[in-house]
Formats: sequence, structure tokens, C-alpha cells
Amino acid sequence: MENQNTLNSKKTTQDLLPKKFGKRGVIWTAMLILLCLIGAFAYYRQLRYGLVVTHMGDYVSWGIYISNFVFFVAISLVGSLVTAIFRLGNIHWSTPLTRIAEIIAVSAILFASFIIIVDMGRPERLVNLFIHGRIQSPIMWDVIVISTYLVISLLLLYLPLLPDLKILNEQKEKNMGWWNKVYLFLGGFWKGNARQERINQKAVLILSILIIPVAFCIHTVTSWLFATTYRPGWDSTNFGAYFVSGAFLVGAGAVVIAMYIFRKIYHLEQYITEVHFDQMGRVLVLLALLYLYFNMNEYLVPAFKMKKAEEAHLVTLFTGDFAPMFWFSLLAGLVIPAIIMLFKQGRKPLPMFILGIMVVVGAWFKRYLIVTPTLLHPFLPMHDSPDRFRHYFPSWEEWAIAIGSLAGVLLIITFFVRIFPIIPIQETIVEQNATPEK
Amino acid sequence: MQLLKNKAGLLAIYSLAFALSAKAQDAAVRTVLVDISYHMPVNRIPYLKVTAKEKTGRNFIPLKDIKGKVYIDEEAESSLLEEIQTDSKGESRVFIPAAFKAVWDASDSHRFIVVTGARDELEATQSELEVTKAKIEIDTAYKDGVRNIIVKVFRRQSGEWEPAGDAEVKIAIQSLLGNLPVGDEDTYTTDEEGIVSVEYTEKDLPGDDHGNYVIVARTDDHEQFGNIFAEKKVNWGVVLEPQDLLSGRSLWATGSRAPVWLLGLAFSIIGAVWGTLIYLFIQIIRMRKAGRTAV
Repeated sequence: MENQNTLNSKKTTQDLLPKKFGKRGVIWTAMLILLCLIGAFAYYRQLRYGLVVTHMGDYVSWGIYISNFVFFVAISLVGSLVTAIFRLGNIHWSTPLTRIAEIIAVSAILFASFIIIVDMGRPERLVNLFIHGRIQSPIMWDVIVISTYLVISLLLLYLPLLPDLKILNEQKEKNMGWWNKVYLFLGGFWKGNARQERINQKAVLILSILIIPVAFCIHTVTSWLFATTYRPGWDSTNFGAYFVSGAFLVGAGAVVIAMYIFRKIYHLEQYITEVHFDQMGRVLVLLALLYLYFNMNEYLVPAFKMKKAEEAHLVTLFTGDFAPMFWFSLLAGLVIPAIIMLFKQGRKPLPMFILGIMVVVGAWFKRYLIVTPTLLHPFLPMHDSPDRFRHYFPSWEEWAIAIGSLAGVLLIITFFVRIFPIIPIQETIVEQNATPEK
Repeated sequence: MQLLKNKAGLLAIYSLAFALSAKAQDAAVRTVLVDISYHMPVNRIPYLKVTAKEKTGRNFIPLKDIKGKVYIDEEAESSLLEEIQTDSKGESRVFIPAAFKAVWDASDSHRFIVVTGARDELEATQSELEVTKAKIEIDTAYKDGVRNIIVKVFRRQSGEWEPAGDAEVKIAIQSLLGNLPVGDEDTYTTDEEGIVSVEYTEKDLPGDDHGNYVIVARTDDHEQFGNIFAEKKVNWGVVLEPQDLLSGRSLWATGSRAPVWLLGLAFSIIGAVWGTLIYLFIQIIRMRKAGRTAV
């Protein structure tokens, strides 16, 4: 029995150790780097010439950058869902997904911070936020809670990685040369003794509890950036819960996409099984229904009252310029995936992958719809303003920076997968060895 | 007989056609109603307000861009006060020019003539307003423990100011968004001596930062005097102590003046979360030590 376990452990370790990029991996990474470089060039132009290179104006002063920011913050919430909520709920099937969720959270929140600085136009003035910061401002709360969430997410990525770092340190000959120094620096102290195990488990438990309220805060505060202003579409007491429920949905969709890609490329069918897709499908249905409920509150109630100030905004969404995007995000990104995933066949890996993409793309457009149409419908009439201020479509620089930031998130995940095991090796071995005894 | 019937039929047709033609001609010509009102504000130049409108059904519709000439006393080039053109509300204002001071002072009353030209289907008009010079004075008195507002109306007669009896005046306290009427009546009528006396019992009306407010009295489209105004500042109000909304602690103040409850709440949460994180960093250090010491 012990020999069998040892054999299983060796196989699991070999299967889950980070692997070199193949040809497809190199092309993928090069493409992401290229997109990031184009984004960097566009940002250089923005720094050189100012925000005038964007198509933002007097009315739409928050455009695609802030939509992207809200999207990144939303997607980062999945770390708390899979890592913390499932862990505290003793949901063991999620073990192979925890690190996927956590690296998505860390990379997304890093770029959420970056895109806010991009939106500022004058990044050197960021320091004024700390010198003259006002604790009364939701922007200040957002800065505090995002930095806190980033630290917690990094810790929640790092601490469960320690046992795997020991495994990596034991296999120096199989690693890339200089990365051994990184593994040694990060986890050289980890011997896996009882005291270390006890401290680590306690620390992870504390983090799992701590991250839940902070995760709720991060997206609630982001929603308050909108809801504390008196504008059509934002003036809602529902916004915090609406944002949090949408964030869990898009995050879970992103995890499903990542699960499918890693499973396919690294041949992890034995570790990320159809059961995982089935379970994530059930979770997505629940989250989609929850988000649908909040959407109904958010749109049906104002539409029922149709107050004059809200009317132009709602009509633009329902039947106007933004209607195709609105109905796409609602139907393709929410209703249709939820219906398909109700059926067992819809929760198979390939359908789940496609539905995951629909959910994430729909969610991105949804954030755009939350930000832009409201800004185009101020309470006061638009007087003496140039025609270009009355419409908004991002400039190529805005698109390049937004796409570059999305590529940046994927690049971090790509490099992480190359350097660290994307499925926790030690935890998987422990669970495998414990299963036959049951 | 048949011929008679035919003639009667033709007559009826001609009559109907004539009636319709006459109606069509009536409809083609639109009547402009021009209204003139005289205004004499306090310490300002008197002016005339000319309003042009037409009646459509039961409604009066303002007429824009009606051009006309306003004369004083007679319709002559030497008496032309100003050429006017009505705005989108159908209104135009004419201030009595300083050049007409001698003409203005020469008589106790004046006649204003407004002549508008024909335009398209709008017919030319001529309207007149006769105004007698008048003035209002406000005084205050304290009788039997009650404050009284005394308003006197005078009219110019034979070069002298004579009391104007039987004139209706409105008395009010000036306020920011509209005047507050004094007493129970909307208007008061002067006695033979041109005097109105009204008891004033309000004691807790807010004044300015010295407790002052302004009593105003006016005639409202009086048929002889037009609209004349008077005002008097009195120290009867409650001293207003402006509320300083910016210097205290508030949600809209600068960061250094944030509300204490918010500071307490925010720093408690930040302290609790970051305290826990510091504790976790210490645990990492403990794990490093445990790795060095443990067998």
C-alpha cells in the first residue's frame, strides 16, 4: 500500500511539475508580449501628449479604462470564492482549482491598480492621494481595500505554495537554472515539519476567513464609486450586491476557461476531471441566477417608474445605441449560459469552455455599459459642447492600452504556469493517499 | 318656377361663397394686442414694458419680433423714446432716456404711445397709456406695544405732491425667493390722506446678520400710477448667524477634518485587517525559524 502511494506520488509530481513551453506556448507568449508592447507604446503616447489622445471628454470622463478596472476587480473576486469560501465549506473537489483561481485574482488585481493609474493621465500626481488623501472619499477606500486585497491574495497564493516549493527544490536538475535560486529564496526554509505545517495551516485558515469580507469590500467599494454619485443608472442602493454577484459570476467563468486550457495543454485530464466542470457548471448556474435577480432589480424597477431623468438612459440601453451590447451581455453572457448549464451535457468540458468565454466577454461589455451610457446622460442638458463630447467610442490608444492590460493579465498567468505548479502537488498527493482509506 | 328655383340655388351658393371668402379674409389678417405698463422701481430709471400677443382660441400667444416705436406725449420724431423689437416672450423694455429729463419734469402726467408696423398677416397697431406721476413713502411707528407699518401714496398735481386716496397698495417683506405679505390682506386701500397703516406682529422673522430686513410697498398696475415701488430697511428681524458648513468636521471637509466617527470606524477596520496581516508575516518568520531549528 505504501509502495503504491509512493508510486502514485511520483507520478502526480511528474504530471504536475511546471513544463517548458511548446511551440504553441512560445507563440502564445510572444503574441501576449507584442500586445503588451503595443499597449505600452500607446501609453507612452498618452504620457507624451496627455489624455487628449483618448476620446474621453467633458461628459464621458470615465471610459474604457474604468470599465476595464471594474472588470479586473470583478474577476479578482474568484480568488476568495474558490480558495476561501470553498475551503471553509470543506468542498474538496475544488483543490485543483485553488491555485488557478488565486493567480487569476493576483494578476487581475495588479492590473486593476495599473489601469487606474493609466486613467489618471498625470501618474506622478498619484502621490497627492497619499499626501492629501481624504478618508471621506470612496476613491481612498478603494485604494486602501485594493492594496489590502492584493497583499492577502499574494499571501494566499504563497502559503499553500510552500510544500510545492519544497518539491521543486528537491528536483533542481529538472528546473530552469536560475529559477532554482528563486525557489530556494521563496521556499528554501520549508522542511515540512509538524510545526511548520501547523503554523501554515493556521495562517491559511486565517487568510481564508480574512479574504471574504475584504473581497466583499473591494467590489462593494468599487460599486460605491458609482453609487455615491447622483446619476441615472448609478443612483442605486442595490449596487454593492449587484457588483459582488456579477463579480463572482465572471470570476467563476474565467476559472472554467483556465481549467479547460490547462487541462488540454498540459494533459491534466486525470486531475481536472469532468466532475470539476460539472461542479463548476452548477456553481455558475447558481451565480448566474443570483446575478440575473440583481439585474432585474437594477433595470426593471427604474423602468417601471421611468423617471424623466432615468428615461433617456434606460431607453438607450433597451432600444437605443447601446441596445445590441446590452442584450448581448444579458442574453449571451448570462441567460443562455445559465439555461445550457442546467443540463448535464452543457456541463461537459467543451461546452463549459465556450459558455465560460461567453460569460467573461458578456461581463466585459456589461462593465462598459455600467460606466459609459450613464456619463452620456447627465441631469443637466448638454449646452455649448462639441458634438464629439455627446458620443464616445475609444481611440486606438485606449483600445491598445485596454487590450494590452488584458494581455498583461494573461502573461502573468502564463509565466506563473511556466514557473510554478498550477495544481497544488502536495495537496493532491495528500488527498489521493487519503481517499483509499475512506 | 324652375327658373326661380335655379336662381334661389345660385343665390345660396353665392352667399355661401361670399361668407367663406369674407371669413378667409378675416382669418388672413391677425390682430396684434399691444399692452403697455409703466414701472418706477426704487432708485432706478423708470421704464415701460411693452407686450405684444395675439388671441388664439382661449389662449394669448406671445408674438416675437414685433417691431414698433415708442413715443412720449405725441407721435412725432422729436418725441421718439426708442424703437423696439419684442423678444421670445413677446416683451420689450424701454427705459426713459436721460435726454428726455426736461420733457419728463415738465408735466405731472405723460402719455406713452406705441406704434407697431404691419408684418406679413399681422396688422399695424397703436396703443396708448396715460400715467400720472406718483410716489410711495414707507414709515414705521410703535403704538400700544405694537409695530405699525405706515404707507403713504402721493400723486403729482400742479407741481406739488398731493395725497392719493383710494389707491390700492401691496405691502410685503422682501425675501430671497418671493415677498412675504404683511397682515391678512393681499392689498390695502389708502384713505383720503393717502395713508395705509398696518399692524405688524411678526417677531421671529430672520433678518440679515444685523437683524435687518426690507419692507416693500407697491402699486400693482394702477390705472393712473402704473407700478411704483418703495422700500425701507428695518431692524426688526432675528439676527441671522450664518452656519459655517466648511470649518467643522464633515464628510465634505478636507482630509484633516474628517468626522471622528468615520476616522474611528475606518482606522479600526484598517487596523484589524492589517494587524492580522502583520501577525501572518510574523508567522512566516516563525516558519523560517522552525525550518532552521527543527530536525
